[in-house]
Amino acid sequence: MSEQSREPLVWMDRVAKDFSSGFLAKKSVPTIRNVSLEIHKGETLGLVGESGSGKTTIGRLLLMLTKPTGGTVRFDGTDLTHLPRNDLRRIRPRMQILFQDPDTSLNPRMNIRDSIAEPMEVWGIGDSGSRPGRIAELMEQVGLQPELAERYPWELSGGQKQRAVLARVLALGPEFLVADEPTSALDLSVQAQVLSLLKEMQQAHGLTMLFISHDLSVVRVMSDRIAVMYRGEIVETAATEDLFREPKHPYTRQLVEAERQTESEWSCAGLRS
Amino acid sequence: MSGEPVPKSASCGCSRNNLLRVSDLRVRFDTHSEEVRALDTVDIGLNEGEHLALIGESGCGKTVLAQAILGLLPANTRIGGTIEYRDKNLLAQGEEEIRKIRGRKIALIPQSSAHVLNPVETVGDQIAEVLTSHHILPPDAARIETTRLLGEMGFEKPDLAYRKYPHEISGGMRERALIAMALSADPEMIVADEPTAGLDVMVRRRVLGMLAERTRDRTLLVITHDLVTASALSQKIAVMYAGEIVEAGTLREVLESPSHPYTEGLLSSHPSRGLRPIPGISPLASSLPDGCRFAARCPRATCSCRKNHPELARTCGNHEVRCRCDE
Repeated sequence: MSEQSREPLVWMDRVAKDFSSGFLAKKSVPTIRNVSLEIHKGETLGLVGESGSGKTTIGRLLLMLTKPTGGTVRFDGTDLTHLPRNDLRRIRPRMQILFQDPDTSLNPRMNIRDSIAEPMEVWGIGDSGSRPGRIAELMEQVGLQPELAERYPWELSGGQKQRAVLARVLALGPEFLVADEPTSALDLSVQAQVLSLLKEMQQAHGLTMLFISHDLSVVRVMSDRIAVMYRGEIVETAATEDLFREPKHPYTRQLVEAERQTESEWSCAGLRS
Repeated sequence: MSGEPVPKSASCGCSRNNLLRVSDLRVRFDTHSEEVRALDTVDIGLNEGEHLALIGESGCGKTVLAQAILGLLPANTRIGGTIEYRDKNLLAQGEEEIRKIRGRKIALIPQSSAHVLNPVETVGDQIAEVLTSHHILPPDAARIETTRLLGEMGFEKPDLAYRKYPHEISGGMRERALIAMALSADPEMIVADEPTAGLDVMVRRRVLGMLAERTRDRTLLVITHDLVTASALSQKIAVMYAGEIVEAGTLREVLESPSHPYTEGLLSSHPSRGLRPIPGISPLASSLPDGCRFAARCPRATCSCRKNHPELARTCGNHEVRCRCDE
């Protein structure tokens, strides 16, 4: 919700991505078609859509984890699509990703302290004298008790693991974060914990965020604006409350309607406050 | 909100004509170093045609309950209490007897459709197998019946769907195939374990609609952590926390006037209800506190809560709560 500067931090212009399938006769399958979006500094853009609509691919394209087959991706004024490997690598710590499944994001043979220290070691942030203090600080920020530092991922709950992953991501002090369904593997009350934490961290660090989810109610509380994907295209982008008040695309209308029905079923059961 | 603890036989809407009655169920797993108390004093009664939702979070023991009912718990389990189905204690039956009930009388819709189907057998053959193995139909007729069922579950080309392997169809389709499989032997009762996990909003609505329609005349126990799924499918609800039922009643009673602090916390955790998280985490089933199991996270906990373990007590109607913090 911070003031938006004129130049977006993240910018995607008419990006396309085809994947090829088949073994001998290669067939090209268009996955992302002509997608343009921009995210301003300090803003959270929500990305919703059904499974297979290309949400995750958009996140990967923004971070150049997947190369687009057409179009341009820019980060802080730099064209990432034509950037030499080494230059791209230097930008990486400024943009990070939080995945859906914390289990696959943590090395099972490293304890939590080492997992959080790893990115700092890779990027030469701090030294062996200052890192322990920084790790303790990060763990406190994400709400992990100090005694968990010695634990291994299998000794932690799903929510604790996702917190550890977040601490690891924040260790690099990123400016842009892609959160790809960060809570869909978590229980309701744990989801609430992780989402509140994410909002807190975003405000504290002025993070810019792409928040991907298929759950409209979650996207609603997290985002300033929402982009709706349908079959590889962004069919509508609007400020969060405008989208709910006046959905324009037929698919958005269906989504919002489904969300409303769910809510009214709840209110029948007296669930809405 | 005072009241004496009610006798166990009267709790959770149990009455004489229960189709399924779980009484004082305790489940323990022995690992090499510790004892895991997965379920404690669980009482559930389900009358014919009744729908009960059991809600709770990962690790609270809800899937263990489903497995106990269907006789699917591993060999290192210690079980106490009774699970009566039509006045027959399922825990006392041999494997032979259970096989006649499991799938035939009480069917399971298991969790995570991606992992429970056999990857090297077609979806249709796996459903037909239920019919042939219970000697309900011969193979040819089972094939026809399965195709009909798939059509009923919204597969547009049921004979094509019959020949598909699990990896060739979407998550929503697999879930519907599992529902078809559970329905195939025309069971009296269905236990659905997280039937909508991992499905997106539109697909979830469709699956829920079908499940509601197909279970209208059956008894249903739906196990879920999703309040929307619970309210779409059932009239009664039981909330589980750390291996115990902490609150039970009609959907209205529990959702409109939640009385256990955990239920309150769970409801206000929902994004559309303010996203106010409950602090802390659930205790491990291997190191449960002596007093109230929720006390460490409870805003209303008193000294006595931490010392004395509360019983499930009736507040009004059939509404029961395991909390004595007002006393």
